[in-house]
Amino acid sequence: MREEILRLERVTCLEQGVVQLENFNLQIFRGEIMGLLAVNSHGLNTLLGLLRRRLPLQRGYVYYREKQINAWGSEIPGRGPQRIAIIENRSSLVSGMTVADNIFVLRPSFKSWLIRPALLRAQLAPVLEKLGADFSPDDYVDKLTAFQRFVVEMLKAVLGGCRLIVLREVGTFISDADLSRLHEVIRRFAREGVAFLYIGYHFEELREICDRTALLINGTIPKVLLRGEPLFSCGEPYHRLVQAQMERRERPAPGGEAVFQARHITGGMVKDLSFSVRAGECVVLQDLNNQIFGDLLALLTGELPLKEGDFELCGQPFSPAYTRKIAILLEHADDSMLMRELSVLDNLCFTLDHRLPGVWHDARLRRGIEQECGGLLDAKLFQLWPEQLTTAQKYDLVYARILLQKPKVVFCIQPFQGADMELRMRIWNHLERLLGQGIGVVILAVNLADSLSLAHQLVRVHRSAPNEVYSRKDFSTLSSTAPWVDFYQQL
Amino acid sequence: MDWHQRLRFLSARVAWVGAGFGAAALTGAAGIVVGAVTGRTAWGALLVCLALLAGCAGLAWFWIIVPYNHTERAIRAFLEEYTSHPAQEEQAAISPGTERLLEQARAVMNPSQLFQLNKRQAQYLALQNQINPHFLYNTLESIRSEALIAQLDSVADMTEALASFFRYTISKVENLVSVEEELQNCQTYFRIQRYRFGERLELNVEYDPEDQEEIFRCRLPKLTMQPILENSIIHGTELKIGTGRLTIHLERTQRRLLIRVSDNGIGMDAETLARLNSRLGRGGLSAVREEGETRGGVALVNVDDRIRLLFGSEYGLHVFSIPGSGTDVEITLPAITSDREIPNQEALS
Repeated sequence: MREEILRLERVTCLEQGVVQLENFNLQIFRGEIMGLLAVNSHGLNTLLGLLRRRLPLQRGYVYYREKQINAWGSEIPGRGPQRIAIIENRSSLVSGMTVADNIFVLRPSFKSWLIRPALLRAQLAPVLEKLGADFSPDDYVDKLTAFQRFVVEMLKAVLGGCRLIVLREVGTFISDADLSRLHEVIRRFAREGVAFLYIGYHFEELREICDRTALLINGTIPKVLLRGEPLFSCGEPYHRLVQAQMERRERPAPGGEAVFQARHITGGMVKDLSFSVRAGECVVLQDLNNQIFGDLLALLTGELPLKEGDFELCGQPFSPAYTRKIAILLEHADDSMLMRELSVLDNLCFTLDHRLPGVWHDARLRRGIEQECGGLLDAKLFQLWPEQLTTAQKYDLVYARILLQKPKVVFCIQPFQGADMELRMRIWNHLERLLGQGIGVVILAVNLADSLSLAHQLVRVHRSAPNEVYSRKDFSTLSSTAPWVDFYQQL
Repeated sequence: MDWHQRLRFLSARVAWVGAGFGAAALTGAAGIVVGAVTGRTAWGALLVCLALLAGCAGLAWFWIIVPYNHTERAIRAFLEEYTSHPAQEEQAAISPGTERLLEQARAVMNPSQLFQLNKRQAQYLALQNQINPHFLYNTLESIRSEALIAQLDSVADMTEALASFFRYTISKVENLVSVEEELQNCQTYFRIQRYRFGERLELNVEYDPEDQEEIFRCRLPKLTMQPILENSIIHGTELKIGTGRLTIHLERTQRRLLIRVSDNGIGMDAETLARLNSRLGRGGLSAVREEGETRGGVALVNVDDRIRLLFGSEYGLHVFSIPGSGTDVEITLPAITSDREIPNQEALS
């Protein structure tokens, strides 16, 4: 007899008058790893909200361990928070405390008046050893890598009595090797009876680990795929796009001189890093430890001094500084790359001053730009403020700005992070357009995910080993969790 | 809702008339106090008081008592099961809540829908009367014997399957059956369909062997799985090129029995799926509406209605499907092993 951990039965939930979840049915059993593939993110936050607290339901029922915890039109007697842990990019650990303190001392059931570190350490050490963890109970949580943090959060949840752990988009923040290790840890917990809801945007990633995978489209689950069942029509447009993209990419990489080159640069966490990018070429820098991106950008802009090595831009030595020839796109560009106090047009023109020096004085010139950008942006957007735009429109605006800026090279940090399948396709097309305009693109990523299929070259950065460089023909030798690795093998 | 609309309700009218009586009392009291202080009778105040009293009494009669009597008559008519009564059309509601309640009651007693229901019941009875079960079984048995004599094994087997199917469908009058019996009927139905589709159709029944006994003992409404299986064949796999694979997956938890009937057929688009799922779980008379007759899915809605009426609204059917990937119908039932465990016992009688 199977034990049911979570059941959402015909749940319909509205937020601010908008239907977020409609006829939503989901059930998770003990020891099951249930995948949730977000084809689009509509309703995802509401679902997590429902698991965190009792939101009013328009219809339906929610059960946790076969007990009704929420129902439409009825008042359920007040209960404490459910033992459901949600692990996402933002850490829920308390910084400045050790792993053991986070796991034991902050637990609601910790009743002891005295904290005995030696005892906590002795209790935790064998558990960590069993999991094959490479950190000690005395390590401060601030020093942990993303993988280690996920393990600590899971351990905290399990030892705190949680029977269901929700993992949201963990694959984006850790490397493929760490992802495989994390999957091992998840499987181990699952064997001990913990249920998982594994939320991701890549079917390939979910297929590796999940027993079943539910598709989330417009706040409803139209299909639950069993292990081994292929992804049907809803994933097809994306796959077609990737396949077409890959076939195009089979053409030889752009030739000519490198527009940007880094030679043996060292500084901060960056150690002896070399790479070069040509016009219209895409290079992916994969940092397997998620540590160098901030320092690399700081080295590029001169905020951090170079200890060794040098840069070259358009064949000339380049002294690190802010320049319009190099564009930088931060993570979550829809939020981090827009100025809310400026209008859409001003945001668009923000980095145009090197091409049109009078852009800020001449209103007529800006109106001309508005008219000329009809092909890039919807004309109606110019009547709005950035906050009024949808996420997709914000991305359109950011990439349109880069196109107008015409840099020689763009550094994109995790451009696909947090984007659902539909948004990924959009970002993909934007990057493709940049490449088509002869702009070199350097993608800084932890997980290869979508980036790889755009790449002509992959540089894997290791902490203590020499960096590995892969050309496109070597991509098929990458790990099987890399999305669309089958395509590379076919080509 | 503005004040004008609120006045449709007796509760609001009572408040207004009460306020009028209060004002009359205050005016009268003020007149008496003024008279006592000044030593002269305050005729003006007394006249206003009398006018207010008369006005409020009139309003109370025409605005409250008469409409209330109408409402009372309407409720009495409803309780006496009059489907259409003039009093039901003209009454004023006591409050917004009671107005919604009466609207609901009117919808339930809607003569056209009841007529549809009666018509269907009459058709069913007529059909049942036409088929004398013993005559049917004897005839089928004769055909089987003839087939065996003529060494037509397939015809004999088919006839036997048909007889078993009718015996289960027509003769067994119990409302609840065991999962084992229902599964056997599904297998019989599949055997009959197999003669039509041949190797193009496959059926798998999946369950954890350790749970077999517990699953098979569970009770469920008769003809819960077979109509869904039939639906999967007709709407799912019949139109598909290649082998149609049907799966019945059974799962038992501590409180629930979960049955999933899947096919690898053509599936359905998002709009059709949303429409179907919104019809499921709606309850009431959705099964007899014209929409249900013309757009398919009657069997699913009917099974869902029966489950919900017997076990409550937290049980029933849900459909999962995307085009080209087949359809899964998930049936959620309480895990009961005796008819006495049913919350709505009256529905069985």
